[in-house]
Amino acid sequence: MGRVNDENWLDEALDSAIGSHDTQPDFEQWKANHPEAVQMLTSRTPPEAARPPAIRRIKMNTMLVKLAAAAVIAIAAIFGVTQLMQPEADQPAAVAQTLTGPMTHTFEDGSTVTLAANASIRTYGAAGRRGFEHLTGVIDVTVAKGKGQFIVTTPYGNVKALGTEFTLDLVDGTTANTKERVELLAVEVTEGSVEVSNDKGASVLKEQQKLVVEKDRAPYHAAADADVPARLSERMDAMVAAMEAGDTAAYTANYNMNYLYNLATGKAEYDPNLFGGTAEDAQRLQQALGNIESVEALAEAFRQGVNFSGVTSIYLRDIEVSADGRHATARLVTGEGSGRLRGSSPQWHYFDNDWWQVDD
Amino acid sequence: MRIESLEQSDAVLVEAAQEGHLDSFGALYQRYHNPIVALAYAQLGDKHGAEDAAQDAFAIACRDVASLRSPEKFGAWLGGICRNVTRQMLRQQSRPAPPANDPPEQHGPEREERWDAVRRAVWELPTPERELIVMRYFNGFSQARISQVLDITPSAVNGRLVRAKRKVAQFLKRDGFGS
Repeated sequence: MGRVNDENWLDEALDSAIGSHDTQPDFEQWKANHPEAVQMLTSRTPPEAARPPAIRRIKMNTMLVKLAAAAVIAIAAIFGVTQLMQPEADQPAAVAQTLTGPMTHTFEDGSTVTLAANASIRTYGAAGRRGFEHLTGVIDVTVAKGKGQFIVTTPYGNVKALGTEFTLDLVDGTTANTKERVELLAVEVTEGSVEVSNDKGASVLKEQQKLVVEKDRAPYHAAADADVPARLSERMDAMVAAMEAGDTAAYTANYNMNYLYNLATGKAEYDPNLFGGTAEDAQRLQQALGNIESVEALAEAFRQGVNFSGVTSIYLRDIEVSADGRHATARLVTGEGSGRLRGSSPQWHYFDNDWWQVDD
Repeated sequence: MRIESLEQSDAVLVEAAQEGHLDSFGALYQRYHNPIVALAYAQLGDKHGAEDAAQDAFAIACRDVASLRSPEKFGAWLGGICRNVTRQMLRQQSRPAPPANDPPEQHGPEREERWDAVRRAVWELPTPERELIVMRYFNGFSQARISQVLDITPSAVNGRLVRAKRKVAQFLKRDGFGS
């Protein structure tokens, strides 16, 4: 079916699959739905266009006042009245200001930052200095290309970018379950690359990569951690991606279902390295699922028990690999829409020629 | 004979909008509405969500247009706002962009299967290529309009489009939609 190398066939298929000819702009409807935005724009109409400015006559009664007025006029003539009459929008943004989301701010160079609700930044007062200070929350930054380096400073490290797009999340809170204090900056690059640094170290992050900088620690980039085997790093990424996507089937695939099936049906011995729970947990598994008919049925039963609803962010804080290189513990912090944080430490073990998650 | 373009440039419209002329912003809205919906659709994979994202992007642009220092870059600036809006939406949904699966109108099952496969292939592309393909085929936008929103040259649009289509064809072949 189909001749995918035929240009016309592909054009027609793409047009049919993606085309949307029923989308029509309706500015009147948009105006009705966004009165505040409309009001902000129309309020910039020069007042003189609407009504002539009121002229207030000052009666000069004394020679002193007249001389003072003459001096002011002369100074204005020397320095150029037009300089003083420039509209505010054309002035360099020379005043530092704190901005709070939700909003989007555009810098002089065309770079933009979008602040989520409760996010905040402080812009620089110095004209020509590119960047800003990230104070709280989640922000998306798009840096204009070809204008020089752009630096975002944060309490835990600085992010240097050149024409790129990235997201920053400043997390400051206590996990609801483990009561652990979490103070970190999470960086995710959408396009281009950034350098993240603090006084403990530096790391370069490329497109689609993430890293975490914890307070008083060097930036941690799991994919660049020399102590973590490449295959384990790949599997960890898949674990986080599955959790972010709410893909319970992909998440369940992290587990060695063949071993768990054999354990549940009494065909394999309990091994604390391969089954993260205790021997009692293994007995409970056998009691509950001892009659399960297949590996696939067990995987489905596991999948039904997994739920990632409400999860809005997942950050991999670090991975610790045992001295023998066969066991690893990851530290995760999960953010929920309610603002609640949760900590977890998934365990992984190398057996059956691969790395497998052995508990969560 | 010299033919003058009757269409006002983005820069002229933006400068008028910056002075508070709503009609000029309306002209920009008419000009960029569909491309921005397409760009949002490329991120979200959902046409209704894309419409909402476009509405929000125009609201932000309307509020902040005074801060735009390069009026001729309005399209690229608006595109950046749109991407930020869609990222925020995806984050709130706590889900990445799903494959586009808006059901087509009444057609045979074979054609629907083909279109689903094409959508899946498009959504496998890296984001910049997916944006290009979706913008090109969503509503048949010109290379010039696409280049304005994606901030690349029209010739780059052409070259990248060819490469992106080649990849779509490869994905389709891999998935059994023979040659």
